[in-house]
Formats: sequence, C-alpha cells, structure tokens
Amino acid sequence: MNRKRILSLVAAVLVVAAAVAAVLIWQSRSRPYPLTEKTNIAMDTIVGFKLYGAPTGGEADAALNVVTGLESVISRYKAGSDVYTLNETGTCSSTLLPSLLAQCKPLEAQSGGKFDLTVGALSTLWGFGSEDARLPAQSEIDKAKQTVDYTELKTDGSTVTIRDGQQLDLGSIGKGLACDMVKQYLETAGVKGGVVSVGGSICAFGKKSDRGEAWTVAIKHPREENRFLGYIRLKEGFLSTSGDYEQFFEQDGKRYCHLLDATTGYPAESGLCSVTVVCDNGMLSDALSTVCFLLGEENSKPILESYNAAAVFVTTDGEISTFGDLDFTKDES
Amino acid sequence: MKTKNPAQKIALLGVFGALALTLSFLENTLLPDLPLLPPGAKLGLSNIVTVLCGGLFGAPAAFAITALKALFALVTRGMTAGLMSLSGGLLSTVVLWALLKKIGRTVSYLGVGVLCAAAHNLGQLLMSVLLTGSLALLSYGKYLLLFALATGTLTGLMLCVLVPRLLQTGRFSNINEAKRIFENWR
Amino acid sequence: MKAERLGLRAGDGVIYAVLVLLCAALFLLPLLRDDDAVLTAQIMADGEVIETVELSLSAMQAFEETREVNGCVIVLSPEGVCVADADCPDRLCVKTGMITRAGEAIACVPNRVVVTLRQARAADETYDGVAY
Repeated sequence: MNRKRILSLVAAVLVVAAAVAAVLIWQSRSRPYPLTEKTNIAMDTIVGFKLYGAPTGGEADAALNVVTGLESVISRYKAGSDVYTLNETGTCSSTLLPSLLAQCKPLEAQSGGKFDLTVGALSTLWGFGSEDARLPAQSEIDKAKQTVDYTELKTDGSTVTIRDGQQLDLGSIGKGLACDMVKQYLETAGVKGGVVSVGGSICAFGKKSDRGEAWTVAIKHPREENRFLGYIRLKEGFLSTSGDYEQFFEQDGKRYCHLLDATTGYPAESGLCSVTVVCDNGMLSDALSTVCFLLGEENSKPILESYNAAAVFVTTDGEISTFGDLDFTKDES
Repeated sequence: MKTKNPAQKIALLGVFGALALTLSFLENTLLPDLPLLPPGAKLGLSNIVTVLCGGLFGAPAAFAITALKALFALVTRGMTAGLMSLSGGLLSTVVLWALLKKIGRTVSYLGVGVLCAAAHNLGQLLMSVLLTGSLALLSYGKYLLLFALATGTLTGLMLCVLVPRLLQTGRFSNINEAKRIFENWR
Repeated sequence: MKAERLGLRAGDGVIYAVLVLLCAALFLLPLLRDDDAVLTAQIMADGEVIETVELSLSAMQAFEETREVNGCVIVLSPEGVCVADADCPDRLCVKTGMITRAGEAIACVPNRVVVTLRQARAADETYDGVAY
C-alpha cells in the first residue's frame, strides 16, 4: 500500500513536471516581431532597413527621408547644402555642422593630421567614386595638399568658416552619421529593433524578438568576392569598415585606394587592407575605421581604447586580428 | 510453461491466432485510412489478442501470434508490410513480456496497453529508418507516440472488459500461467 | 468506470506520465526553432542523398517544381514539399500531405524514398547585415 502511494506520488510529480516543462518551453520559444525589409538608394549608396516590430510599416520610408535630409546638408555635390555653400563661399551657417566638426577635431589631432575633414581638394583630385579616378602628378598633389588643414576650420556659434580654397569632405563620416540619425528616428518611432545599413555602415539596435537575441553582422572579405571574413555578434552598436577594396584602381601593379592620408596626399599604406570598427556611435565608428586604416594596426590601438571601441584588422598579408571587447567568429567555409 | 491440457492450449491458441489475423484484415480493409490519423498508423486491434495471449499463456504464445501476423502481412501485403509488422510486433511483445514478468503487480491493463502500443510504433519507426536509411523519419515519432497513447488506452479498456469475462468462463483455470498473471490484476 | 474496475495500478500512472511528458516534449521542442528561416528539401533514395533544393522563390526556377524518384512524384514549392503521386501499394507518402517545417519528413518506405526539410543555413551562418 505504501509503495503504491509512493508510485502514485511519482506519477503525479511527473505529470506536473511535464505540464511545467511544456509551459516553459512554450514561453521561451522565439517569437520574432513582424519584419519590414526595405532597400533603397540615398547618399549615392545602398541604404537597407531590416526592421522588427515597426508599428505602421512606413517607418523604413520615413527613415530613408532622414538619410536624404542629411544628404542635403552634408553633401559636397548637392547645390545648396551646408557643405556645398561652405566650399563655394568659405563660410556657411549650419545647425548641424558645428557640433559634428567639434566631435571630429580631437580625432583629427590624435591621427596627427592623417585624418582630416578638409581633405576635399585631394579627394577631387584623385577622383575616387567617379569614372575618372587617376594617379595625379606630384605637383598637383602638392598644390591640393596645401589646402588641407583641419586647424584652419573655425566655428563660431552656428557659423562655420574655412580658408579660401579649402574643401570640406564629410565622406568619411557621412554614412556613420546617417546611421546615428536613422537609429534615433526609428527608436522614437517605436520600432522594436533592427539593422540599418547605409553603404556598409551598420547600426544594430533593439530586439528582434521577446528573447532579444544578439544581432549577427557579416563582414565582407577584403579580397574574395563571394566570401565573408567573419561574423560579429553584438547586442547593440555601430559598425563601419574601411577597406582598400571599396574604391580603387591599379596602375603599374600598384593598388591605389580611396583612403587618402592627408599628410602625404597619397592613399594610406599602413599594411592593412580592411578595418572594421565597432562602437556605440555611428559617426565615430565611421571616422575611427578610417583613422585606423590610415594609422595602421599598432598606432590605432590607443585611439580605439580611448573611445572604448573594438576592431577587426586584416593586414595586406591576409592576417586577421581583433582588438577590444568583441564577439568575432572567422568564416571557416 | 506447464499446462495440464496441451491440446486445449493448442486449440485456444489457434482460435486466438485466427482472431488476430481477422482483426488485422478488417483493420486494413475496412479502415484503410481514417481521416486525421497519421499515415501508416493503425488502431492495433490485433494487439488486444497479442496481449491476451501473453497474459493467458505466457510470452512464447505472444511471440507466436506476432510471427503469424508478420507472415500474414508478408503474404498478403508484401515485403515492406511484413517487415514493419514483424519489427513492431517483436518490440511490443518484448515489452509485454517484461511488463508481465518483471513488474506484473504494479501495472495493469491500461499501462500494458499504452506501453505495448508505443513499443509497436517505435519498432515500426526504427524499421522504416532502417529500410530508407534516413534518420529524419524519427521526427515522425511524436505523432506515432500521441497516436499510441490513444490506441493503447483503447486496447487497455477492451482488455479490462474482456479478461475478467474470459477468466470467468473457467476455460483458462487449468492453465497455471494465466492464474499467475491475470489473477494479480483482480 | 471506476478506478477499481479498471484495475488501475500506480505503474499505469507512471507509464502514462512518462509517455505524455515525452510526447509533449517532442511536440514542443521544434517550436523553439525559427519559423521564417529558408528551408531546403533533401531528397534521399536508397539511402543516398540525390538532390538538395532550396525552397525559396529566388532559388527555384518556378513556383512549383516536380521530381520523379523511384516512382514517387515529389512536388517542391516555397511553402513546403509533398508527394503528389506514388506507385507504392499503401501510398502513405501521398497521404502524409504537405510538410512545411524544418525537421519534418515524408517517407515512402516501399520505394525507399525520403524527403526531409532542413533549415537552409546553419545558425552561425545567418546574419542580419553586411558591413563593407
């Protein structure tokens, strides 16, 4: 009789355990929020949205307007933009530029002037991004280089001034900045989470389901077209990559890429072919990836540390290394 | 297994064997595919006979019925059906034997019915994995298990109606094995 | 019927509890998987994988594709896979209907054909964005 009682008890416990387990499993299953995907063109590049839990579904289109809105302020080519006006007249009044430029100044200083937002004349000379990219003559480079000096860029209240002939070029921070602004908009619009890509600069924010899995961002392989270098997993943050494979031409067996060292006037040769930077600010991640590419792996580590940023470096020899707090997995396929 | 009257036992086994085949046949022709049931799932009516034989005459008799059913399936429905019947029946009978022999007092009709049904389906599942070479079929097991819970309960309920009546007829009273097993359940 | 007439014993309870628990676990575990992942259909015949098809509109040539393997007519579509016709005696594979979730399978045991659905990409290979 006693034994029977014990067995009945065991049976009852098992049934209860089964019920509890069933409920727990049911609860813990991943329920992704509804997904909205949109891809578009803005800032002369591909802008992709992968949004989870967007309240109306129209948020991706509105976010694209944020990007085009930013473009009409910081584009060098759009007549009437703050930067266009500044480059044409030497001065402009802007609500956005002063704070951006102030944020970048320390980085320009830390890079020893290699990273310099007044690099516009050199950029135009090399012509990357257009069809007539070419190796300029030394005299042309020397002439253009004279206009490059971030210390001559002054801000006073909302007024920005540059020396006559200087050209501001925000190409190295624009995409990251766009990520910042889009994220800010999407969060206020009530989007639960998502991944935004502005020309390869990535913002990952929020959650894709109740469970809040980490996001996985693949990094393009600098040399192989159909492969990824690896995958970075992150809860939230911004990623930017600078690589010599994005815009380049080859002449006499030498590769000239679009990442110009402002102190030499030539493409950087720091022994790297790709740097990916992860940090909590889009503009900084964009700027830092350029700085790291220009300075090389060793010189950029103290700077990354001061911004609490992490990075994946790939040397021209194909060696991959990481720096900082980062969940990176190499693609072994 | 000692019986006082071998002829009576053989005659009864023959009747049970015929009954098992008849039930299999009826199930396969009259109920070829019931809606809402997983494909291949059968009610397992003939399992009632197997369990009865196991309980009344002991495990060897149950094995004999199983072999007979498999042979019948092989002849009437082909190689695949024969192998499926054999694998399911064998595993089910092994479980039956273990239940009756080892833990006879702590389980009864419903437990035996359900566990034998589950074992039957598991045996068939393993055989189909063996025949096709695809482990992916194991994912099908959950449907078979759910189904076994239902059909096993049905089998068990029928047993608890049938067994007391059969024992009351007195025809099995001279079979020692029967006393040992089914008397425990009363 | 009363428990006494059913002759219920404690062991019966244990058997039921274990089987119900097992059954619940088997049904609930697949729900943990992502539902929106791209599926691939793997077709096996005679124990060998003979073809793997990604079930997405982008990877398939038409909205519906058919394969004939060992007498089974397999229909592949982005939603799932079914066996539309078969020359086996029991035609259980046809009765299985369409399978739509990773891990499910249709088998034609007499023809030794199995169609399995799998997640197209391993979990560590899926990604949300590409940095370049």
